[in-house]
Amino acid sequence: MSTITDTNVGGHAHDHGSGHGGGHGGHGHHGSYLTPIGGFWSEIWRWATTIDHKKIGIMYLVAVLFMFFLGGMAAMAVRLELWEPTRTAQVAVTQPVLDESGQPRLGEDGQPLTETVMQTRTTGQLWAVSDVQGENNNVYNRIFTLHGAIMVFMVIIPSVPAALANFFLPLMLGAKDVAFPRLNLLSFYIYAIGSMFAVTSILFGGVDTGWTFYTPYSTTTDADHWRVAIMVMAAFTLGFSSILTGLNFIVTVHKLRAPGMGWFDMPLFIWAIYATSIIQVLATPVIGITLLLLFFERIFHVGIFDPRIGGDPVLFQHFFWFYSHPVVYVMILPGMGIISDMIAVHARKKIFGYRAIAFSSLGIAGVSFIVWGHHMFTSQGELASIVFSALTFLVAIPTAIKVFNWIATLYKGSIAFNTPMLYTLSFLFLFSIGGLTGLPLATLSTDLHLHDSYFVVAHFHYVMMGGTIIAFVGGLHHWWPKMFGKMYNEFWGIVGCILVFIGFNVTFFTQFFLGTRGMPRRYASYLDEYTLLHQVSTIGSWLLLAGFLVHLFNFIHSLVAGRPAPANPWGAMSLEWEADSPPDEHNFHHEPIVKHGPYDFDTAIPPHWDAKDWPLPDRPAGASAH
Amino acid sequence: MVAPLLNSLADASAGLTGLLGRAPALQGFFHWAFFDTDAASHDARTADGTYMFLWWLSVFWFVLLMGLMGWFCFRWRRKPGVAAPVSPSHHTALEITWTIIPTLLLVVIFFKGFWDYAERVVARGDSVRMNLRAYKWNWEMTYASGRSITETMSVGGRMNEANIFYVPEGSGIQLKMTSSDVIHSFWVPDWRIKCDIFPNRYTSVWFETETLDPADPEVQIHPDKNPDSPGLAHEEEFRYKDHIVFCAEYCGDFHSEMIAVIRVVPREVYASWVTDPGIDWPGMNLADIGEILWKAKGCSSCHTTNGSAGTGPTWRNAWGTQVPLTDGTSVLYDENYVRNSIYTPAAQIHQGFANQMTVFTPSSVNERELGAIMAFMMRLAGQEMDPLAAQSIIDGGPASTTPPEGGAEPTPDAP
Repeated sequence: MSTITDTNVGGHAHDHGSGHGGGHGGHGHHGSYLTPIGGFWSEIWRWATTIDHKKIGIMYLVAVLFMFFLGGMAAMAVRLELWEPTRTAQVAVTQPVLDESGQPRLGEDGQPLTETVMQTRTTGQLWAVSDVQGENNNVYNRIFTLHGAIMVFMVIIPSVPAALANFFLPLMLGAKDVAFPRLNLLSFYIYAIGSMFAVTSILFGGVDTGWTFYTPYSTTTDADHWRVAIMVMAAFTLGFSSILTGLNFIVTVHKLRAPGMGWFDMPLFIWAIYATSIIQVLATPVIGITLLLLFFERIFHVGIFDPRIGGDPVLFQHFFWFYSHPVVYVMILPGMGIISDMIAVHARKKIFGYRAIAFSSLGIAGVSFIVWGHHMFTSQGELASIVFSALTFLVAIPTAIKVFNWIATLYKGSIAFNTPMLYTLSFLFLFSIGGLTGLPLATLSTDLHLHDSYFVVAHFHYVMMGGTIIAFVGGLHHWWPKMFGKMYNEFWGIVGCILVFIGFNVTFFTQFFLGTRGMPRRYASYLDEYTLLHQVSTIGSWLLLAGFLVHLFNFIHSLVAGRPAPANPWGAMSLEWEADSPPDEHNFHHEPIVKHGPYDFDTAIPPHWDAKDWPLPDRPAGASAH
Repeated sequence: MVAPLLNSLADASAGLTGLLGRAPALQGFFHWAFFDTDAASHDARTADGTYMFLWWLSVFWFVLLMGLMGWFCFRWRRKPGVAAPVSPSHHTALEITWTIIPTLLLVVIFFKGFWDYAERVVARGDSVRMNLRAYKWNWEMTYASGRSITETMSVGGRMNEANIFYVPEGSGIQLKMTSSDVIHSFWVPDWRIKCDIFPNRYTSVWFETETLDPADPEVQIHPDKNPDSPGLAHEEEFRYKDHIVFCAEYCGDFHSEMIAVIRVVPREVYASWVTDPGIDWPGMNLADIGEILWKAKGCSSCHTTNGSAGTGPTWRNAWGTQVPLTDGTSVLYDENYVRNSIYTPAAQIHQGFANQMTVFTPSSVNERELGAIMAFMMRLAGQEMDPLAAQSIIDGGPASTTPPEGGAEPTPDAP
């Protein structure tokens, strides 16, 4: 504590005189980006035409959360339907067969004939068994497709890059905005249009192809083709939003870093978003071309994917996964970036192995382009499978390095058990399981059994949801005070986090056992022996729902009645915490000058430092204040 | 040079598995938890061994990492007024070590998977070859003798019937597979084997069947002594073991009902069964044979016999009625309409139904089978086929009950 007297040597932007201490949200005087200046309709117009990256980020956030709600409800419906082996909404009843006059029909032995029919539990309506299995399986198939397509294309891909990074990338770089603010608004509207295509397709009946659109099923399932076409159009449009956002971020990182900020002075979140943006710009055009080829084939009947006119369905799988595998890393890398930042801030510890984490992000982005074939071990040639199996193991190395670095960061930290930190620890727990269960999937001999089973379902939920969504919700708590200038209730945040953690494991850990025991994915009904595990999984989904509802109410409560947030509630070092909470329209009152790294907790003073909140470590001899 | 080194690494890893699995109760418990029963073939047991090795390896790393995480979190939890002690944020030797160790392990895992895989995809030279056709939503096995499937059974509480395929015990089986419509995938969990099936090419899958061990609780005795029952004409008892076949590639409405049973039987039973015609044509009622074919050919997955509409129109009380077509005309539900609808389903689409029926050919449903199906349809409408016509079908004659009037050949008039 010997250095308290030299705290102001660091020269941080305290000059506006209202930055620290509770009670200031930036409302009132020179106005945060949230301060309304006109009437209701003029505010709507101002938001709809804004080129402020923060407002665009918030609009993305609202859209993503709405889509998360839709996709989550579909998931709840899927789990509920799997409560019973054949049908949950209907129950089988045995009744006598009646002839035309309403009399019981007699069998050859003179006994009345009976038949099994299905009865809807809620309405009592009777169905023939074949109707239930055909027509209602189709409902199930559309709902799981809806769940997958929404969660992948409209929630996970834009969640961190488009919502959180839009808000925080310029702030963390000390910039006023992204490099191309109008392009940023355009990406949002392209996203909105793409989502509307998807919702239109759903409202007019939805599609039952699965989110992967495998041909020739996807080109033959829907008799007049237009619902699938609209859904494909949605994915195509959303891709453009992704490309433009990625391009914008790459240029912003290159050109708009604050004076004094070298590449290795950037927060690791920025490194992760940078790697993500590269993948988005390079890989997304491939899916655009693939989907155009699908249209081309349908309209001009040129055989590309459809075997009936000379195409090859495996070609579609290659094209699809050449995009969709890199996109898996578009989904997880930003989550890893959030974790790198949160673990350092809430353990108040310099991140261990900064460069290793930064380069492993780029390494993962690079390797992600050469492993697509591991989705096709059962459909491509043996030699290709062997090569792709070997390449796939390469991904595990940078991923393992990151996990080791995060855990090493906790060593000799000052670890707070608040909601962001609990989400960080949850991430490490769940993501480790997700990563380790990738091993038997990358191993050829074991994948023959596990491919397309519930084991795969469990594995990618551990990575996509246990990784990205958990990091996203944690990041939402971490940056909530900055975004809205209000604190959330820590107690209810922790309750929600624990419910989500338990619910998640109950839901998805059981599915590993379902998979190894032989339960195929995308099944509307299943053999009786799987009933118990499915029911445990469904109960887990209710806990998960309860956890997210707690978070939702906590956030609403915070917006309505939350304690005003200080500018830097966590004692973090990166530049976004130098701005007000919520930030000024132009982010900073004057251009920040970077004098220390984002994780220099040992050697520098955090912005808006208050000795009674955040004691400084005893510094090693010779360390300067900045 | 590298191979022996890797070989010894793989041996070491196998030793590790043995060590970790030394507590047989623990190993047994997790094997049960993951797989329930033992794998049914040698190669599948090898794959299970690899899986259990990866499981213990993962447990080791997970416990190590989470243990460290938990300990750090407890030991250095935040205390009011206490700052984090200063410690290095970079350690080259440590970072190189934790890069190299996982890399070596991953090399071992890859080679282990690769060798097992190589053994599993190369078929034994003396394998029994069969052809498997997958279509929405059923499986059809054709044997070298030309025999197809006529037996079905109900599986695991399912209401629809699954086709039964016979294979000899203790043999290599090689399936040449293709699909009539979309992509399907052949998965037998008991043998840990899976292969996708495409409409535009053949794919091949190979597996070894087990020897039927009377001590195996899943081996059953052929119980079916009912002389009216179709299928095996065997009078003597024999052992058999059933394995479930799932479709593992999503294929639409009845994807989850696309199930078959592979029945492993003694070789001599297989030998006499495979040459058996399957259906006792002279000894059975033609409409009864039609009912068997209704299930065996997969008609039952879309066409009901109880009057309710499925994916396709019902067969009950359909025969002899006027069928409204999508082009606004109508057609009499007779031999020619049924024949047309089976061989060229797209030509005349029943109003209210989509054009999605599987196309059959005279080799997948022959004239005699067509006749039996028609007899069954007539019975469902309360009619009976003329006994002489039925006899001529049984004797192998044409399907028609009336002389063809020039319209017997399908006339594909596009809608």
